[in-house]
Amino acid sequence: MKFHTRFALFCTLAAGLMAAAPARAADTYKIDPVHATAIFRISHLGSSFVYGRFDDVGGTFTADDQSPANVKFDVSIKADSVDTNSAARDKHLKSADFFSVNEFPTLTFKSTDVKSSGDKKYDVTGDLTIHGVTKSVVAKVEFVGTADGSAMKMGFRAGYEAHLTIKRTDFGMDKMVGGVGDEVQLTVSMEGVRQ
Amino acid sequence: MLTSSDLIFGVILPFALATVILAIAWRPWKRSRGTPGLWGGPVACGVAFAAAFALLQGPRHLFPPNSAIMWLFFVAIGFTLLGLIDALVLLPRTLGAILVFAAAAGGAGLLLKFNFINQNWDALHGVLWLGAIAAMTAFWWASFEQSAVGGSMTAPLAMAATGGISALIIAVLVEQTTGQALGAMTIALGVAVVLMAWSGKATVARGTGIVVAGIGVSALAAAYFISSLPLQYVLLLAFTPAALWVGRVPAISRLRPWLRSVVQIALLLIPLVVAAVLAVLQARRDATMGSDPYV
Repeated sequence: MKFHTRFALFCTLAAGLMAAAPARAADTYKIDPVHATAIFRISHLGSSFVYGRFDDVGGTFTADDQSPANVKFDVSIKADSVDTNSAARDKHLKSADFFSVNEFPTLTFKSTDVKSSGDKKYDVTGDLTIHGVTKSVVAKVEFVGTADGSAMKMGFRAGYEAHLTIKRTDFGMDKMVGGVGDEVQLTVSMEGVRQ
Repeated sequence: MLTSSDLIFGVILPFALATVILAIAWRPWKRSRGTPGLWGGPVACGVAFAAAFALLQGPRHLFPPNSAIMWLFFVAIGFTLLGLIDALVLLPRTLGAILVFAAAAGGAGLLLKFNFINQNWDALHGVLWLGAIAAMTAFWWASFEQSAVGGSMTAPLAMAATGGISALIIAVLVEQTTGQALGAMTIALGVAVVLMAWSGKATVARGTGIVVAGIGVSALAAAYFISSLPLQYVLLLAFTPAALWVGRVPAISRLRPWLRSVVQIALLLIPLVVAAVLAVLQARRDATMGSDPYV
């Protein structure tokens, strides 16, 4: 085989390998709101759990499969996108009695420290701000995977899923505690497009 | 979901406080002897609202206020003090109007300063909105005050109706706690009506109008700007006290006092009842099952 043929074959093989390559070190991704979901679970009268979601999730994250210390999250959620499948309840949640969305329009999470806790699993410490109150929390985060959607003009993508439990009274939201639980379980699943 | 705390702090306590305060101020059992203290009305209404609001919200969030709505407590205290001053020293009307305007503008500024922080308002829009709220407060005060002359029952009935229906609308549509606290103020006005009838001499002129106007308009402003109460309810409630000025129309002013009062209250009730019915229908539409969205 002539040299230029072998070289062309090598380049083709390398390109094919790169298409399936994992995320490069310390790449920044912009969260795709269409493929990001934030849901929460809270107890009602101690007899069941009510689930709700926030429909507007945005922000950025930095993925680095070589060094967890470089992983970062800067997530923001629009408070007035809360949806619990009840117009009356959603209005009350958006009012001054709960989220007061006109005054505190966004919920934010900014990571400050990341530690590996297993294969593709992390304990992410960060500042969570809800209702104007900022608390340091630890979220259990799992790296889900990557995909190269370039052929479909979707860009290179990576995704994480985060889980954490908070007490809403820690954030100044203490209406109807007793009837509606204090502990809230949050799950945020996010897919980002590499920038 | 109404709890025992709602009943105690929102109904029983305000009733007890208002009864004690008005009984001390007016001593209705003395009827023909002594002069009822004008301070009773503003203090009873202001304390009823402030106590209910603080206890229903939770006192730990008041000092310092952890959100905009908490400033409503301090606004209520401010108007209660201003109403007390008016009752004790009988402020000249012009000075009273200026002080009511200034207090309302300042109170609204504290209540709604997040609009400046969040850059929802620039300086011009902020001044216009605060000015409008202050002007509306002065309008309410003037409307109530001119209808309270001569110990007429028109004023306390009008204030109770306006406050009560505002409380209902705010509670069912947006903010349960603020609505309950306004309801507490309405309970105090209800006690005032009963004791005025017993006393025969007591009046809510001088001071009570300042408190009801200040707290009522501030609560409406909070419900609109903080909790997005639909504008149609704000407009219906805001201009309702205009009905009280019909008592100055010559054909109406010549009527007997009780009949004049009936006309004024009837005209006042029309927009209030319309607003209340619309609000209840809206709340039922929004609820998924029955009238309690948490069922």
